[in-house]
Amino acid sequence: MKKILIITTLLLLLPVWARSQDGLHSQAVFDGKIIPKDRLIETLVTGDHLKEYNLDLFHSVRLEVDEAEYQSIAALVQEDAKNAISKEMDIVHGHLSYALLVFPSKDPDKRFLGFNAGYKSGQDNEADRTVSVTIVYLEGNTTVTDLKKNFSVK
Amino acid sequence: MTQDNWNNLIERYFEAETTPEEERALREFLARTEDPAFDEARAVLGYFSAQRARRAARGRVSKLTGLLAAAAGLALVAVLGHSVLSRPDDTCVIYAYGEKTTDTQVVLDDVTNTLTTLFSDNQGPDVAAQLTDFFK
Repeated sequence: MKKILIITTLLLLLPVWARSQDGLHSQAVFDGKIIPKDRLIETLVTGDHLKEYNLDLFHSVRLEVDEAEYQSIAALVQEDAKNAISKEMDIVHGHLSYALLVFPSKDPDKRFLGFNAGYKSGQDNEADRTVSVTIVYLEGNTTVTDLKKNFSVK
Repeated sequence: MTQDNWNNLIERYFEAETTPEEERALREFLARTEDPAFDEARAVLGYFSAQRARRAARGRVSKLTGLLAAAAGLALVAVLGHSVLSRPDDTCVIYAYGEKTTDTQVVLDDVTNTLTTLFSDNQGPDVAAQLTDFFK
């Protein structure tokens, strides 16, 4: 009976772990492990609100970071890019400015990771530089083409 | 075996000195004999046999209960796992520097702005140009 209880407990925890980890290196940013959550803007939307875009999950984090923090976050995204089945990336002088990654998924829903970085201030003084970073994680039965069609401003 | 031999075996049985083979032989003998001299032994051994059968049945019931409990546990895991993974709930929230906002319009505007920035044809070159200046 004790064994059954232990196995049941482990099985109960499994989906929670599976959801929270997502298998991405960038998950650490969403979890507030790189930058504390009181320094970022986190948006989470699931369910019917996203139906019109064929999305099931929208999870974004916006933050302003210094050069070293930016490097840490960009490194995680670039690590994730190694596992992507499709990627669009802009790297300027070795600095990642934009990434759109699509990851393999077992079910029809696809997983996307978007990254955007732009300078905010301190262009004249490296010590004061601030980089504005946005990371977006999406899940849904859609494509990059459809997402661009829905959200692109020409 | 003679009656004395059986009586001897019965005595050894109650002294717990018999082997399993001897006990089986004794049970078979008591089951077929109609000699009233062995009624008492038959009654006692019958009681023990009935007890053993009940214990075996209880063991089977206990195993069945365990299997049912495991099946119920797995069903619960499946239901909870599906409910967690399938995200049937409509979450719509912003945590801005620790402050929670649940105004649907505000949140959805934020979603649209973020995705427009990400998927806009114009964002790539602009950001690249910015960073070119920034990191040169």
